[in-house]
Amino acid sequence: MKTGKDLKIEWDAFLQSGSEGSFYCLYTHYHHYLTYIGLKQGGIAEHIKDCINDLFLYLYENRERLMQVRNHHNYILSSFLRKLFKKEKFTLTDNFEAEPLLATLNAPSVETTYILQHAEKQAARILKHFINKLPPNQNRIIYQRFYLGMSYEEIAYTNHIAIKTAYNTAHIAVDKLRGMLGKDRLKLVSAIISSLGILFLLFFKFHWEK
Amino acid sequence: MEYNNLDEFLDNPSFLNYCFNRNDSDVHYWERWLIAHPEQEDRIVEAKRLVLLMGAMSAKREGDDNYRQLLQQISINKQISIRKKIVRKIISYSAAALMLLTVVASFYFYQQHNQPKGSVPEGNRATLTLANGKQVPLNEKKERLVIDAQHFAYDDGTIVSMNDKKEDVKNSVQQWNTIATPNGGQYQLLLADGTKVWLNAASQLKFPASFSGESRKVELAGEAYFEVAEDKMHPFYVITPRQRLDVLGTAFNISAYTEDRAEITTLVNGAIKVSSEAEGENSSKILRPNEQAFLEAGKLAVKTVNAAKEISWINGFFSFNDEPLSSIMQKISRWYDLEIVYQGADPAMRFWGGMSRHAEVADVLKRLELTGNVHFKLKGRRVFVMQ
Repeated sequence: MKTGKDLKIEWDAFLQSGSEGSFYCLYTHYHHYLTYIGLKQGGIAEHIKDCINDLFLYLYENRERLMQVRNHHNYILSSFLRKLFKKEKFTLTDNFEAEPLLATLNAPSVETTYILQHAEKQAARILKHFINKLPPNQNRIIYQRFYLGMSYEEIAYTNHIAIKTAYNTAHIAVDKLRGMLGKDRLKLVSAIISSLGILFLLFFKFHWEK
Repeated sequence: MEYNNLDEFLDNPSFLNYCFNRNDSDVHYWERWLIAHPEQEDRIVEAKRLVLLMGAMSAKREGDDNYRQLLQQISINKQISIRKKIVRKIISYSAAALMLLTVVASFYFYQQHNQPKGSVPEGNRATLTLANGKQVPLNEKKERLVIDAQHFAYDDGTIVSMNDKKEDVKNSVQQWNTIATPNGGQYQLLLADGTKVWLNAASQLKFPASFSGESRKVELAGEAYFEVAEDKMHPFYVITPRQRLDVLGTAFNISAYTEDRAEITTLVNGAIKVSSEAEGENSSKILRPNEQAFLEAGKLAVKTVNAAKEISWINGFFSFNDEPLSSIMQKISRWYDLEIVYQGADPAMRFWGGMSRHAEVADVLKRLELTGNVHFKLKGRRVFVMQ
């Protein structure tokens, strides 16, 4: 799994040719990264989402001017934080404590999900179907809880909902999923997935040695 | 700790941290827990997979949804900027067109303003009054009125439009007609006998549509230049307010404005006999080419001139040869339709010079200023003549 700094190739490709693939890659990575930071800094989910999109809109429309940016990672991060807190200037040192936390943000990347999808189609299809059918706010809660590791208090705060609601949403979703998969199927899924557990572990190991 | 419920795993932040490898302590804790409770391995694995899957899938969806929104915004902005560009182009073209229009319009208005005359510049303007009293304005684009027994026409053949029934036209053609020019107007005529007449500004010529009888007679008030067609059988007469001219030859100019002090007859070619109405036959003089008869206060005097210069008006020129200021200003007044106000200048001052009649009056006045001791001020339709 790449870190932001490893995405220099994608950054350069995007600046040079406006390559959509590179742009998507950058966006996807930084979306999770910046959302995590934003939430940890006490931002509101909607606002964070808008800031990320505004930032990437700016990057897209001004890519010709961004050749001079030496460190794209710092540039993106500081621009985002500036937008988030509407400060004129925002140096990275302001929030340096975020760094250690960020290092641990390593959920299965998009590539892993891709592998998953192709590995055992039926289960993956059910899962994907289930997730995609969720109302956006529920999906967001799942995302925040499981992918980003937010506490229910944090989730309640950032989404302007009651803790109970956050709690229930997560649980209902899990129950539904389990229902859909069925007990048997779940076992099958687990079995197949566990065979990929090695892959997971390997990924995690590599990440660890970041 | 007993974990019987999957939910309990899922609710445990430490477990979640373990699943996602977020920190060492949680990872170590659960690894140790797994070793300590091997019978729970399936559950642990199941729970972990769920967590990972849900996390991964929801993250992918969240990211993709937001990405899609971003692409939409990019596309919208593109549309807006394209539209903005088009609008900007339209505005800039309109602005350019408007500027051009303004320049042209202001140029046009500047021209207009500079001409102290009314809306129409000097040119071929005249009105024909028929015997029955009907007035017909003549076409300004044409130069000459041609008279013949049947009808009035222009020199290119087009009939003068009168909106009359054919009968009426015929009738009037037999009788006396008058052609009159306003200030700033001039016109030419070709009379039924072939005589050519150039009529200057503010002048009237009364003429028959056809010459019947022993003699050919016309009446003039104002200024005209005649080239009389030869017809020894039928002498040609010109009657002016104060004179009578017997035309024995061909080309001559008469200046016989009622308001002028003098009537001036200049012979270019041939011979004419000039008589004062007041004095009768006794006073008559016969002019030879390049001689000029001057009738003033009843007295007729003859002098030699350069006739060609005297008639230069028919070619569009002013020509002043030892001419008093008063006479010059009178000509300018008639041609440019201006009122002359003397404020100190001597009207008797004499001038020599020449310039185009089609020049702006301001230029004409400037030329005069250069040639003599006079100064002009042009205000609207008035010229102030000063020293």
